[in-house]
Amino acid sequence: MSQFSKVDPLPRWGFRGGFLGLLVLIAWVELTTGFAYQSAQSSGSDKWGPAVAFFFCLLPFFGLLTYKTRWVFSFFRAVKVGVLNLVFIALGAMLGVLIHQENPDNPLPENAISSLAEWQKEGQQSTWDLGQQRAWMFYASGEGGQANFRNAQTFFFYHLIDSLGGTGLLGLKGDPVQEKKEIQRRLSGLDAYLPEIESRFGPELSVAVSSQSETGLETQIHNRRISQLESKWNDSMWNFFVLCDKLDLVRVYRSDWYSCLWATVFLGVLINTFRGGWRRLLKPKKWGFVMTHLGILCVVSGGFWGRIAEERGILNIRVGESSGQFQLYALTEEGRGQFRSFAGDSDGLPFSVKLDGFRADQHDLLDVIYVKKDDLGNFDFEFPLDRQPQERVWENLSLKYDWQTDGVGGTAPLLELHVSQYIPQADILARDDLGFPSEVVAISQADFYHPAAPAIYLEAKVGGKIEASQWLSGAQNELPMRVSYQTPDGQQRMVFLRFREERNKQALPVEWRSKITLLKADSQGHLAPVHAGEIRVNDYLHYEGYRFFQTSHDPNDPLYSGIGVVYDPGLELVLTGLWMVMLGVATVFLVTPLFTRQHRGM
Amino acid sequence: METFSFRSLLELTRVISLGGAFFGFGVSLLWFFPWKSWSGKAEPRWLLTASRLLIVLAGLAFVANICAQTARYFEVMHWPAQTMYEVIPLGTTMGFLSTLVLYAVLGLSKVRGAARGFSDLFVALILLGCGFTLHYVLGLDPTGRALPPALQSYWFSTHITAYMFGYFTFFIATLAAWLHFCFKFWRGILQAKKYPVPARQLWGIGLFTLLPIPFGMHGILLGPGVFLLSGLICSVSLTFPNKLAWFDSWEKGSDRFTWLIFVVGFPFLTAGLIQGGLWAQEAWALYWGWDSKEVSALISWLFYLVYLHLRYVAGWRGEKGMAILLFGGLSVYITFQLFGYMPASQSSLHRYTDMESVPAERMLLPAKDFDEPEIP
Repeated sequence: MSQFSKVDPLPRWGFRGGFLGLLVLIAWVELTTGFAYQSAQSSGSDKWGPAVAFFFCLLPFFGLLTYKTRWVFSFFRAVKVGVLNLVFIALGAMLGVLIHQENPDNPLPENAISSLAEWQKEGQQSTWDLGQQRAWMFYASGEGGQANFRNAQTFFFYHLIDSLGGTGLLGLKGDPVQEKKEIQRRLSGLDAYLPEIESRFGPELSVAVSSQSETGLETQIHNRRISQLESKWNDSMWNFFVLCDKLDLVRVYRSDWYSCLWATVFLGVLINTFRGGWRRLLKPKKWGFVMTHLGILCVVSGGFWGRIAEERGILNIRVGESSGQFQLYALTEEGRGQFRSFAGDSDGLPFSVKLDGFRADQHDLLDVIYVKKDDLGNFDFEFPLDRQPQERVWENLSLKYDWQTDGVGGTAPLLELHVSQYIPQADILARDDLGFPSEVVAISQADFYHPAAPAIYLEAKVGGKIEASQWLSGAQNELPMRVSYQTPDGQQRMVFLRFREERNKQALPVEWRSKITLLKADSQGHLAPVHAGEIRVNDYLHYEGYRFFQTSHDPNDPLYSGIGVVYDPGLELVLTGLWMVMLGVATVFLVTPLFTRQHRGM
Repeated sequence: METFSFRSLLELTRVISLGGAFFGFGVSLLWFFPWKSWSGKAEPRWLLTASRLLIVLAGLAFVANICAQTARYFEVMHWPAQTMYEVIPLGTTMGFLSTLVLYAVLGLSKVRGAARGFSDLFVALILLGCGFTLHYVLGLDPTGRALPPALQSYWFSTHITAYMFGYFTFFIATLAAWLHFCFKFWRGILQAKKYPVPARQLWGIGLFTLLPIPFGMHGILLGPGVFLLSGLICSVSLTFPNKLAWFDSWEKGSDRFTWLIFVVGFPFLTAGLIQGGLWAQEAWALYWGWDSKEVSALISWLFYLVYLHLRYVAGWRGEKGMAILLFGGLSVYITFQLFGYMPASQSSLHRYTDMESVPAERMLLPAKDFDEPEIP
């Protein structure tokens, strides 16, 4: 008998075995981590519990690895196990999408939801602790502007039933057929306005008014029904909420079973990539494969590292202030804020952040308001729109209005506006008799942080001839430009053109930036600048392992800047891995076939 | 209305696309016609010319759609991919481009006979899908919006364009797989003795026909629409001497056909997903925030990853693999269009494309109070 026949045949893992194997693995991890949490709570130690869990979790694994090495390797190597694992991850992700999740940056305290459920059963005597309050907010009102569980789930179930045509079965007030008819009836009122709006402003505004009105009316009805359902389903939804909490379904992504699936991906990819010897990987046709799979290893390992060591928070600061610490997004179990000092990676010495400048720049808009005079001589809007048309402004912008038939079967605009000059930060040197700016220059050496208002030079042409041209300032209380003209059929038109900065405080600015300086104490203990830079969204500052990025602003406090702070030592590994996966997949499917002429034709 | 505006060019694209689709259906049916037994000769040359004209129309639709996107760029002064009114036409542009790429990759220009009819039917259905999609887009709110700070990035164009190419290529893959199952269904019904199909499979195909209906117009078009159209073609083919024999050659090649479409789309889907992570890192210092849109996109990617490994490593060839592509297409559609109905979508960081839909109350007829009894 040959030597090879003495070796046990490699166990074959099919879907059934793989399914059971993964379930056992998940169950084991859940059991040991559950045990760890229990022992950590009872011993009052953060270290012993996880250590015991880690030991018990790995003990059977090492046992199997020692006595059933080939069995363990074949499990992680089996493609069907790997595929099942991906399916499990996808199913977990689906649960995460279909069930409203906790904020991963600021999770609820352990057992907060179950203790609230207990409180409810006990007869509602004591007052809520902070964890219970947060659990209730998560369920019923939403924390920090987030959607709440009850509303989010009702919203989803309602729309699911609605898409299947089952709204009538929900037993809600109001007849869905009647409500649909009512929407159409109300929308018919637009027929009197839309043709004129289209000829005056073009088809887009007409479609926008019609589409927004229809969607808006439908949304009103949907919201009313959802709110009815929220009250009607409150009890069942609460039970569903408690069940989801028990099964960790409101925190899928940070649950231990989900981490276990990702760890299995890591081991599967690791074993499959390096099986058959490393020389195999050097062949050019394997480069894409190697790059992709090594990339996945980097992403998963970097992600785990980040999960353990990451610190994420916000630095609330005003211009001129400096701070040596930032607040973590996650609160303590008792609901208190947690603060961390900035400590450099290279020398471990603390540093501070000073905010030198901040500005949120709003959009520049041009309102185009057609008006008419009533019998008493008062001006009124010609179109009863809730918001008169407004355009964003940039240099050389051309706008066309009032489309008239041109005699050759087409249409041509009667009024044309042209922004021939645009100055983002303007200095008005002189004004004419009416009060319009007559001499305007750009403020020299004004950087982004200069608060001066913009100005434009606007030309209005009627029938191809310049009717009016004027400097307009975007500052508050400036005069609008007025243009009057007559249409070919003798109708009088009057339009006001008002240039302004967006003043809706809820609107997102076009740009926001902070100028910061990082300070460190020198040998005499004096703070000295060690680094400086500017941060804006999509362009963060990196210093000693910390990343500073523009997160928020306060429309009521122009000097405040919310600067996000992240310390994540696994980040470089993850980013490298992401690039490797993207380039590796492109190499496998695009580059290699182009050179080998594979995948060509049927 | 401006001649070279986004809207007018979209309308032109829609006309070319729908015109091309109906032209393609006609040409396709002519390829199925048994020319040899009727006239003793192979298909006439003009049929091949007409068939080539179909792909030229697809090319023209692509050019018109590109021009529309360019016009929109100048109308809003940013990469036109912020609202659904802009993103979906970007998708159809990528759909036309993908059709042209696949035409070359799949070698459709070289096939003749009933296989050519099949390829023309395939192209015609893509054009029909894009045409209907543009028809839907023209009814959406067209208001141009400024880019919020987070979207002002070089990733904005590449991330969304890569995704659109991936998405629309996978819609095409779903269509190809679905056509296979539909024809198989009808052949199993109409020629049950010669080509028996297990009852379980027939039920499965029947159920999948109904599954996309709640997805709206696109679902109805893909599910019952393609199902009935393939039934019509099969019924017509039954009157020809060779009956449904043309499906034999397609059946043999359908696995490779759908695989090649996957090969074209997958790198772009991956690029879209990864670029999203790289961009999120720059914008929010968070490469993966488990945002519901990100997770939804990950699920779609995992679908195709499962297909890749099962087909490439576990040897799942044929219908088992193609069934995954069917569900992959649904997953992509949910991520792209139905994500807004998911529970966590309301607090998602990816809700840039939504408009505030406020009815123009002062122009509407006053609301009726339903609680008041009507006076006879």
